[in-house]
Amino acid sequence: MKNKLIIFNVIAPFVLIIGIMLGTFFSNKESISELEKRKLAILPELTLNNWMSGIFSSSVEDYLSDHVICRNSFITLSDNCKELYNFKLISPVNPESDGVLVKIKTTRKSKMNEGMQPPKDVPNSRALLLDTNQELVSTEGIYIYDSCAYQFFGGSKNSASRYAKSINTIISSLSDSIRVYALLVPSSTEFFLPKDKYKGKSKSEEANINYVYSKLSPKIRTTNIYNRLASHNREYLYFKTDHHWTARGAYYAYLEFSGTAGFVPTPLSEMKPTFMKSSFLGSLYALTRHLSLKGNPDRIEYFDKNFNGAKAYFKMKPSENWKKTQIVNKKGEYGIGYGVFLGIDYPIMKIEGSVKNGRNLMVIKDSYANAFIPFLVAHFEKIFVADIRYFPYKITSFVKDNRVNEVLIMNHVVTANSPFSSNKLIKLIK
Amino acid sequence: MVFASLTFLLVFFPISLLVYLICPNLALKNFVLIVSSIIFYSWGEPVWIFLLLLTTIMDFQMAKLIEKYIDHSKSKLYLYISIALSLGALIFFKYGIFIVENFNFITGLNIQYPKLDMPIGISFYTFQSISYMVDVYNGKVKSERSYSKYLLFISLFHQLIAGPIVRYTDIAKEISSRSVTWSDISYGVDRFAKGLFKKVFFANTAALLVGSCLDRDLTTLTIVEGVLGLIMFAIQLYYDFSGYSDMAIGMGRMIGFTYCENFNYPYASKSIKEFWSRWHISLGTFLKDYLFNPIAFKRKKWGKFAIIYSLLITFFVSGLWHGASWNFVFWGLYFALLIILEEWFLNRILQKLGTWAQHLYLILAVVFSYTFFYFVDFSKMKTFLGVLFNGNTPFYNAEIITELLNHGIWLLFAVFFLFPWGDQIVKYFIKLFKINSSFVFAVKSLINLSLICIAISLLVAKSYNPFLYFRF
Repeated sequence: MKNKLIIFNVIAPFVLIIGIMLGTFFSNKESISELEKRKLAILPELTLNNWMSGIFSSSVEDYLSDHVICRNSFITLSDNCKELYNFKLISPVNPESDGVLVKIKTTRKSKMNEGMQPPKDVPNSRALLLDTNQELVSTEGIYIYDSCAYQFFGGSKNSASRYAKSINTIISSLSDSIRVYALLVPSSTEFFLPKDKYKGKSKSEEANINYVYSKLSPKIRTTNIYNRLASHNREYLYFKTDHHWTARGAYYAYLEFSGTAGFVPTPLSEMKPTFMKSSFLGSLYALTRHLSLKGNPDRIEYFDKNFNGAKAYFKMKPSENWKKTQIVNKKGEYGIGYGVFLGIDYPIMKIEGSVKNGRNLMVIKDSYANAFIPFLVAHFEKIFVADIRYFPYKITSFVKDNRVNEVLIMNHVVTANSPFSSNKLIKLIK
Repeated sequence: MVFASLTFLLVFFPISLLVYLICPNLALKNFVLIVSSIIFYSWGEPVWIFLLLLTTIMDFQMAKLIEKYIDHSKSKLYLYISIALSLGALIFFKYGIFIVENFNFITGLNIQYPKLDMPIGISFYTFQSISYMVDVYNGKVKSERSYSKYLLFISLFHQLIAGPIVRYTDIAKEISSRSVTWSDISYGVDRFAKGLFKKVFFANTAALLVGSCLDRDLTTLTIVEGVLGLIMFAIQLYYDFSGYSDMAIGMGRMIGFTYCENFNYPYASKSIKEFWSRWHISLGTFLKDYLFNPIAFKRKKWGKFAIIYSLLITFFVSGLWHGASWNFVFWGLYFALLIILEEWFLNRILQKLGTWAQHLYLILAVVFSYTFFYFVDFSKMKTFLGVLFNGNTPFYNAEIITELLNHGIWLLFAVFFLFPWGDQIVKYFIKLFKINSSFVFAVKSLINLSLICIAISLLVAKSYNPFLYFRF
């Protein structure tokens, strides 16, 4: 019996390892990881130069770890294993009183430059994204509380002033006849995480937003959505596993914005709120892979009413013709997560609304605006959506050429406070 | 290439082992081992394979000359030349900048030294070749007649880059004639799985915690963070190094080589002297046999001072071997000083206080020593010590408590397995409940499989790298 066990002790690990090896060699290879939003490594070419420089060897390791058979199962096993690291095993977490800070560490920075989107023909965007991320990493990670993920905010008066100054610079380059709005979106941390959980770790986003608004030119009409969101904090305003807000959160911002922009908003009762059938795990789950988040997935709620009859187009670069896209992608072409709203972050989008009122709005934004813009379709003749990261035009000439008469600058407060956003805003006029 | 990588685990190791096992005779098996070792060594930094080949050719010829003139003064001359050449290469690549910087500091000159990458494993294979040369000179072993066998001894990938420092006398017979039983391979699997897990599960995690405690603005450090950083570094060093040694020993046994043990629960020691007989044993015995003993013997007329003198030189060299910087020298001399104090009076006091006092002293002394080991930059070391001992530093903060709670269970296991308690408890229960040895073996096999699976999953998970801000 013991002899058989000795042979088993030898054979079993080798069968396991050789099985993984053969499975990895002969399995179909994915090129993109949907969850990680990045391209997977490709097998490097074996050349003398690659061999001698060590590029080949390091790339093989990347390739193997990206394409090993049952990769997701191994990562899940690793997650489960790491779950045993902490004291939850002997003292179950009380979701009412405990939380956990998951530190985010990047092991392969080069990979970050290979983010899946934006498209490859947008120059330098990935490297710049890295800058943004570095600032955000200073907030020390993602806080998990009550099976929801929260980001801590590290913005300061300096970063707020820098952002306000960038907006003022852009606006000063536009004609005085153009109405300009600014809207900053706070994070879920402000409304859903008990204050004692992040005291001293996260700075006040409300104070930061007010400070930004106080530094903006008097020409700019600001919309403070903080109190409106706070008054609805029992509703599903932010995703639990993603860093974005929900369409419902955006709806309350739209209500507040209607007063600033001067239109009558559509009541919620006429909005036909609908939940997509499938659930999804968002970006903060992807970052932390915390099991409590996995057990608490999100669902997408969208509103059908306002964009009936509207048409949406996008361009990747100025030389292209406009191509059709969708305002809300119910089929989930871009995944069943936040990509439902306006698809991916196109450099420029044009939405032709169903009203003919001569109001042409340009929204200069980050992805927080994606869930918000569909509500505006009923109130503007045309909406141009410019993503600050990839917008390929000079803003002054674009505004003039397209007869834009209103401009909304809309950002999430976290990205607004990054040097990246300020720099990109300034570049819009250059 | 490193053992704890997917390239090694999933490609190199299984393929090289399968090819080795298929070979019908020893000559072919040795050839496969040499080719495997060359591929292994040249993976990542291929250029240094030429240095390795050159060194082995030189040493191989020198050893023959040493032996040829064994009763002649020429033998000593060849020994010195061969040691000088081996050490010369080591000094050129590892200590060149250090020597020139210190020379510049003393003389005020500004001599430039090229920044060279250090050939992997040069510290290990240099000591192996020196031990071979000295053993041939002392007549302990016959010089190897076959270059391929000598090349195999030096380049064997199991121990080439991280030890143990295997001596020619240990494996000369096995290079020429060896046999393997299923039990040997099974034992090799046990050691390999254990070593891999030590490295990936314990050492890599500890390294992250070391980084978060010590790689930062040290002026903002709390006492608990500082101490935890050093404890984590102690854990990282042990599991990293002993894990590699376990894997090397395991792989050796799978093909019939028995390498010397390199670690024997060093943190369970009761004195620094004992610690050094349990920590990196192959380096300790090398330095004892080839440095301490010859020096002490030569200066025996000095009495006790010969021991002190030899000890200081040995630990000076030991420190320097760990890294080309003064902090490593201090680290070595710190241990020499403690051994001198132990022999003088400290051991007597500690023995009177009891075993726990001895263990506590050892742990405190060793963990504190890592201050010298970790901080290569003296200004950082000074800041760190200042923060620990200035009396005004906050004791702890919320972050470090969260970190401790997040890793509480892991930490308990990490500390538990630093000591031989696991083995003792298992033996106790087997005896108490008279557990069938087959059952124990079956459980052990399943544990091995689990350890390998977990290690692979942790290595795969390192590649998991989500890109959050691709869409803000």
